[in-house]
Amino acid sequence: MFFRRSGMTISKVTHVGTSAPSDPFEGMLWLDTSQNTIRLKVFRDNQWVLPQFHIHGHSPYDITPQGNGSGLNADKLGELHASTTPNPYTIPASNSMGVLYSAWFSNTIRSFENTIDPVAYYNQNGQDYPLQVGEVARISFNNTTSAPLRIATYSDTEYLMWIIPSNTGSNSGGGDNPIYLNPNNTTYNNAFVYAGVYRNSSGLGSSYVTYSSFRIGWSWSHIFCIIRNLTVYKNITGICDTYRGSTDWPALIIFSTDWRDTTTSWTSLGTVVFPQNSSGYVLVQRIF
Amino acid sequence: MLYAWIDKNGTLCTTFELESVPPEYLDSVCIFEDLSIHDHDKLYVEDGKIKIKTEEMILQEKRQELLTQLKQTIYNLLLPTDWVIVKCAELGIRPSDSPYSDILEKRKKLRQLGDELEREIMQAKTLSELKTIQLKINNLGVEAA
Repeated sequence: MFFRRSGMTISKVTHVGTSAPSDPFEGMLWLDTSQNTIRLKVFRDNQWVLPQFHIHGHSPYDITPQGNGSGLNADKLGELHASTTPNPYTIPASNSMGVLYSAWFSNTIRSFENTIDPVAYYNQNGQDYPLQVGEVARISFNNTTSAPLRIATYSDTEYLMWIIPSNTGSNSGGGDNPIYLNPNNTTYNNAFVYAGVYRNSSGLGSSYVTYSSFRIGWSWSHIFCIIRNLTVYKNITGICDTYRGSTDWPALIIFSTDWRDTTTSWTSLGTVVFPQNSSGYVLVQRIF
Repeated sequence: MLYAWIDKNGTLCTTFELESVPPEYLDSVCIFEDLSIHDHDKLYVEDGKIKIKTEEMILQEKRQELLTQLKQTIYNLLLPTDWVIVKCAELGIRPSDSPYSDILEKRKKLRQLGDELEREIMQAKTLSELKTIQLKINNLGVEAA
């Protein structure tokens, strides 16, 4: 590069070489190629020194990692900033716990704060939600006889499940049939054996019955159960209060149901089937 | 709508949605348009084919179910007063001569109710009749109390 200096004299402003130029002047640049690492030097106060760059009035030491004021836009990708807080046109970043705030997800999937709506996920993606350890899924059911959970599962996992009804308690009007969980949204003829002990107004009783899906309750019930999915051992054990029947309200049931098939995979947690129109919520937490 | 197939274990399987039929059974799945998610028990397998049970088959199954429930209920209701019979036997006295006539009368009434319901079950011609009988069985404990 050349520039005009001292009237009509034309000099190099930048010298490239393994040795310093013989006629340096104040402010001249030298690209020193004598070493493997090429250095740009400036002639200042009669000596060659490494230049100090300043960008927007800041030295490199003053530039913060976020790039504020540097003008480098180091926090941007494709003109978008990153943030832990959801905002339009912003790149999601994990928080101090290493997770994304649920608010980053679409309103339908996160319709229940701090829980997952797997049905909304299924409706958007056409596949079951892959519930992670610790996550809680919440499924709403309203005046219906079936509630698909839309939760993916696989062998060697464990879950807690609550069925939280909102129907009115009464000594009459309940359907005298079981509440089931159909794994894989499917019934398997007589492949399940139910063992239960109950106490209602008639007294203490017990059942040991074969069914075509997991029996988890009766009539209208408030249920808590533990779900074990291991292909060679699949079980639901729980307790429930049946609260709509002539001898119920309350009726305490302690039960365990085994799916006595040791080869079929349980891939979708399934569908809860009620004996009459029912309303409420299902909570499912994966714990293993 | 109910989709049904026989899996590799020979088990009759049903689901309410085509998406839940395993891909390997899609070619052999049977569709029952008039059945719902609650109707698994209305199907059976004969000669490797999935068929709908006749009304008489369903009635007979329900009768059997109610007879089992009735037997269990009567047993459960008699159990708390069995000690009276045991005590009378141990003491060598006739139950009718014991001071437990009110308990014995209740046990007798319960057995009569059981016999009566058993006859009704066997004579029932419709599911609706059997459901009414089921309610009576459920109420046995209340009546016997």
